[in-house]
Amino acid sequence: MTHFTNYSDKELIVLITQKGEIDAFGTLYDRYIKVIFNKVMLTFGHRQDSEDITHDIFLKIFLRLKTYRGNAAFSSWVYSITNHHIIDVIRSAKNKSRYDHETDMASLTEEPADEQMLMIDSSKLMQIMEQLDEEDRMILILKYKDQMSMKGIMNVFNIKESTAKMRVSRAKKKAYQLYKEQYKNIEV
Amino acid sequence: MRKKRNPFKEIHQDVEPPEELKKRIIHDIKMHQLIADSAELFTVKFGKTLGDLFLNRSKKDTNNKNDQV
Repeated sequence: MTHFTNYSDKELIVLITQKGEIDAFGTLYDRYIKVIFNKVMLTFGHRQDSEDITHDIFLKIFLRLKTYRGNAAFSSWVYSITNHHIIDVIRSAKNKSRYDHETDMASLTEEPADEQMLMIDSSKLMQIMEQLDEEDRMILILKYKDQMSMKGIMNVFNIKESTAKMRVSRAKKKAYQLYKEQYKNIEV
Repeated sequence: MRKKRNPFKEIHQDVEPPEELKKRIIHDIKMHQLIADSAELFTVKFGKTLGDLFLNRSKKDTNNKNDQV
């Protein structure tokens, strides 16, 4: 499969979709696997689940290759499929605890400012992220790590602006609350 | 100007995906392609071949009848 390494993403897509060179997909896999797998790992934490989810993401990418029009960078298109798939998995796994979760959040303190969120120590942040549920974790990753706009978050989750704002606010509150609880010596 | 610090950029998983994952994905894609090709063969191509066969046959029959008249 190494003979495809000099091809651009777009050339590989032509080879796969028009000439049926499925092995060329292996090169696309090599280019994106690490980012996708680690994003899935960051969101879900569990290795076996992350492998299965990554597997499904790559199948989805393959099945949709013919629909890629080349308007956006291929990497953006790939990450968009990744984000949407992660959201689908989170939604399908979402259980009855939703109402409890919303109620819990109502009792939390006011929403921390972005500056406060960015003051969290990165070594502690990882531990806090691990305690959040997948949806909150994904929202914070999209907002702060990928620096996605509110519009982008609305699109990925397919929700209204008010809902997106509420979910971002909830995820921020929860993360910051955990930070305060576990590292009490910090100033609030 | 000093760049603003973002702890979220600093957190990441650096886990190597297993080698078997690639094999599994490529294998499943090839299986999918094989099934899609087979389905196409039996629905579109086979259907077209049958259609052509019957169409040619009925044309041939009509020509034969015309020749007899």
